[in-house]
Amino acid sequence: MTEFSGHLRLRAARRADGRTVLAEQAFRAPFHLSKPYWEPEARTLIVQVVNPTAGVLAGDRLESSLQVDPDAALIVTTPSASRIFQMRTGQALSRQSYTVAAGGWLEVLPEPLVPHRGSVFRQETRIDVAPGGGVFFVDQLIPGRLGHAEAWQWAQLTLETEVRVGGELALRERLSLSGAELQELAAFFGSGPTCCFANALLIPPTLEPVPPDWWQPLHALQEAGVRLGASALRRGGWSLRLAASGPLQLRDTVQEVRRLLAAQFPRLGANLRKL
Amino acid sequence: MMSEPATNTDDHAWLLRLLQAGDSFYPTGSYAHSFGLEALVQDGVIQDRASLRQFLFLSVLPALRQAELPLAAHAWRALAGPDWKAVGELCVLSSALKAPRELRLASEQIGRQRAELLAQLHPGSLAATFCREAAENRWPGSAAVSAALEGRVAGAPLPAVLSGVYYSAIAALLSAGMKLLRLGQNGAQTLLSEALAPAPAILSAATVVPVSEVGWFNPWLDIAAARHEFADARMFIS
Amino acid sequence: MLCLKLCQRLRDRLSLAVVTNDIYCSEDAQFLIRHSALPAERIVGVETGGCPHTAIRDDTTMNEQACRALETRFPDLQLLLVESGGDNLTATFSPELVDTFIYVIDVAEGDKIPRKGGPAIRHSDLLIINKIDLAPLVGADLGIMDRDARAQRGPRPFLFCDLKREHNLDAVLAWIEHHVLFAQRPSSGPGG
Repeated sequence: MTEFSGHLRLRAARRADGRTVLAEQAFRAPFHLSKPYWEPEARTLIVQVVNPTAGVLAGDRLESSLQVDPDAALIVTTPSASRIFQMRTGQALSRQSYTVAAGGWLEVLPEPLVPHRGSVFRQETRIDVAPGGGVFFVDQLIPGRLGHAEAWQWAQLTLETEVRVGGELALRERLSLSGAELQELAAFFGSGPTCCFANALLIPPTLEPVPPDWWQPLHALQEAGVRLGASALRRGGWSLRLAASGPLQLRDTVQEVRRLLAAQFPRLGANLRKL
Repeated sequence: MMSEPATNTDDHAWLLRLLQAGDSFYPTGSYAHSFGLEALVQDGVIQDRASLRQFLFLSVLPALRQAELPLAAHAWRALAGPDWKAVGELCVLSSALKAPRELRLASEQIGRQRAELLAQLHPGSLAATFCREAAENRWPGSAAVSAALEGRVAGAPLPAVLSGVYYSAIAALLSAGMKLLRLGQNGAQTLLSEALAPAPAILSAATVVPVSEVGWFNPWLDIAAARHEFADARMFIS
Repeated sequence: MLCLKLCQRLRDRLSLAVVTNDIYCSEDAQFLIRHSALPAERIVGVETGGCPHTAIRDDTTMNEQACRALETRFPDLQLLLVESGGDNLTATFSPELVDTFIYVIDVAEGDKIPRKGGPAIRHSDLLIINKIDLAPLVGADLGIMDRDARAQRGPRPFLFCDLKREHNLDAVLAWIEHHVLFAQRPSSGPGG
């Protein structure tokens, strides 16, 4: 795929002793991997993907592919926010493909996207989960360099996610808006000038029934400045959307969601080793 | 293969059929849904005519332009063959575009009812074959696909079919709005007129949206709809 | 009953008229006429056909015409009551038809009614919970109704009444005087 300026390809496989290892890995700048870490309690391999250029630039075409083999468990996260830098011309594209086999578990929880003034960015995420495989994927958005009093200044942001379970389309979400358009929506819905978002997807790793009131503790997280709703998807699993009044509230609520879900899905209890 | 009336621009028999399908007297089950509006009223986001108007323009019209109308347009084209594989994929896509369960079920239930009623009203038509295919292949119902089916059975041109989808989506919402808000009947009509004004541009944009770019969601609407599903008291199913 | 009581208590002070809504009869209008609530020419029954709440909310044409006819006939009219019965929790009046909306529920329907919510329970200008005398007979807990009405209505007022025996009718009248007729604030308003 020479059209891509950067790529990341990982395949997680289960070793004979039950641990997950990276059976294949390939990456090219701006992607870089830190040393994978085996989290013994959650029995999951944690990989931090580092972007040494600190962000996405005009013309970047990034491809990442994560594959989780049967009974392997992988968490991929990033140490810092992904900045989408100002683009005087051109745009950037990130194409993400995640495949999870039966019995496999993949958590993808990168730090938020931060689109800067004038940026044009498109992120396409395709998730394919075999029956019996599990995924927790979170996309987060901070509306700009809030510390520099810059918000909602991006030119166009397109976030597309398609999820297939057992080969059938379970979810397609598409958000394609300028900063000004999303700002107007945020203002109308009362989420304030520094509103941040998270979109989470949970495909349970087993087909076991989940208690009918599983959503109650999550919905109880809604409070002043935080709106949150979870709903069942058509092919199993849930979509969870979250709007918070600022980055700290966003981070804290996502952490709390993870903690609450860990009661039902223990792998979400893995310590991501972040401050 | 069923033969279908071709698009007919010489007479307007199709108009009568579309009027029938678009009438509030036509039993589609749509009256029981507010399509997220009740949730936003309960949240206090929508309180009056002005905020309902903003919601229409900020959320409802973009969703029509990028999701429901393109779905109906693609379905109308796929039904010309008919290309059943493509039709089935559009039914699935229509369902997959709606993350909140109750918004998804609203479209599925209305879509299924519309298709089945159409098959009953026009035995031996494309609608009957559609219902058979849908049952065999377990396609979810889709309000947009069923609207396209109605258009095909009526022999209606695409702009008329999309106009029907546009009109009925807004009218259904405003009808729910009159029950939820202190919105008078004439106030609802003036709002309807305002929302109909940009229809030509929106319909035109919707017809060129490729399948790969179909979709538009509003995070706040989805949050409210997800919570509405578990509300203690509610007047509408969605 | 509310219409009858309001007519009886206000007719000497105000120029009044009533429009009643019934599905396929004019029973409510006849009730008011039989009880001499007002002179018969000031009482008009609208037969709504299908369902009364359509005629008071979605398409108010018939009610508007009835109101206009009364206004034409009695140019000095100061208060026009538009009544619509039935126990439909979704029934509301179009704000284009009426200025103020009083919703009356009945204790005998059960103490669950306020909890069910709906636009009338929540957003009517005044909620009257009537026939409280029947509460012990039907096993309704007024405390529950009070709690649920507060939860549903927030700051909007509601009153427990037994209109037949005129319990709390004065509070309803005081509310109308103040909120509808814009009289001086009464010394003790309804508190719910």
